[in-house]
Amino acid sequence: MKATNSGDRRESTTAARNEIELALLARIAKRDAAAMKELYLLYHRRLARFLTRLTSRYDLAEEIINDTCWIVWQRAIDFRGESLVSTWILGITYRRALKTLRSIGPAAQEEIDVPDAASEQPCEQAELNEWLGVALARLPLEQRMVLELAYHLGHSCEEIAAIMDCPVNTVKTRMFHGRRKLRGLLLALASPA
Amino acid sequence: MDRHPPITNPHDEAAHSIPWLVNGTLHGEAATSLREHLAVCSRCRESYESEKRLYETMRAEGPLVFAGEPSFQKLMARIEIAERAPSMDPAYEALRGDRARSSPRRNPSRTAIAIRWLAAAVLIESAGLGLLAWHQHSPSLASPARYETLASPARTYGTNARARVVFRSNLSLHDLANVLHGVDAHIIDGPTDANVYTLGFDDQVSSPDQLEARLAALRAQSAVLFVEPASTHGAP
Repeated sequence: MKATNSGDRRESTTAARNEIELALLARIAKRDAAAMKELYLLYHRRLARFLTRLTSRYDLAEEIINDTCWIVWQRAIDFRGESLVSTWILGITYRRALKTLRSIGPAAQEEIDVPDAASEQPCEQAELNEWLGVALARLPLEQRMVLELAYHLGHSCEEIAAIMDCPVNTVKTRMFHGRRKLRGLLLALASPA
Repeated sequence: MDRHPPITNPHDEAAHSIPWLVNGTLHGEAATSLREHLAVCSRCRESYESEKRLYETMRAEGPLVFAGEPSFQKLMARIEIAERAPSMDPAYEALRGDRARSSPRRNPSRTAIAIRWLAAAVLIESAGLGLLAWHQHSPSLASPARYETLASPARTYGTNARARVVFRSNLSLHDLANVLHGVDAHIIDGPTDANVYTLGFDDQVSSPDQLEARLAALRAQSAVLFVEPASTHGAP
């Protein structure tokens, strides 16, 4: 019963937040700069953290946020509420981030040999603290995005499917392989060469 | 990599569902069934605990603080510039392209007429400006070119146009000069203790709209963290 109550609570909080954001979008559609500022500041902190982790560069993160919000400004009038406002905004952010990250290309990285058995072992806190950023950066982009959206931003599997515009099973599979590879990378990075 | 692995036993089922229980988005029957399995399976419980550590580490707030206000100013400057001259913003053009593909064009003939009128207006204005320039400068055509040296008298700038600006802390002298040249501005005071500079603009800036356009151009620069119009009286 406890789980159901927490699920209900999450749904009602999400619905209330969505109502506020819908009202802001309606004002933005009428070119209300104050509403744009309110929505911008609501999202800036979490998008900046999410994108700075992904890109390792605040200037790129800021550029993606402003590209996203610029599209929100232009397209607020077309938003029909088919999804949550947050899913819509994150979907735009995701596409802009993919485009930016693909345009700058992957950073040159040393190959790490990850033994199969390593990915079955649980991660320890010390490994996480020291190597998480490095290991995440070595994951395939889509797998990393799923992990960041689920764990960093707290989105559900269905919300992530809507954000990434893919089936729910694809999200589950990316999560499965992403976690498996991450565990292997953390153990390989933490082990002395 | 995106092929879904076949789920053949409760441990595999748990391995796929644990992340969503950990982040609090798995509910109902699926959550109940997973909790029951975790209560009797030590291997999956260990995996759940490990996943929870990963979730909490990723969720933890780092020491960085992001200020939204300066970024928002840049966005509004971009919107202002794009809406005045839409073709200057490539993202705007891309968006226009998307819209053109997804919706019928509105009043094409009216747009075409407006473009022709605009083109004619630009030609007339150019001809007028050319004549004016010839009239004003023709007596001095034979005089030597004007150069500014360190000993030249200081140029004068509009008395009413001032801005308070904070530049990025690691800005090089070269980049600072580029920013100032880009908007025809000069530092006339500062930095204050809070690193605020006061800028003056040339005599071309004589109306609030012209000042606002220069401020918008400054806000659009990544080297500029903060801009506001300043009074001509008092300290920066």
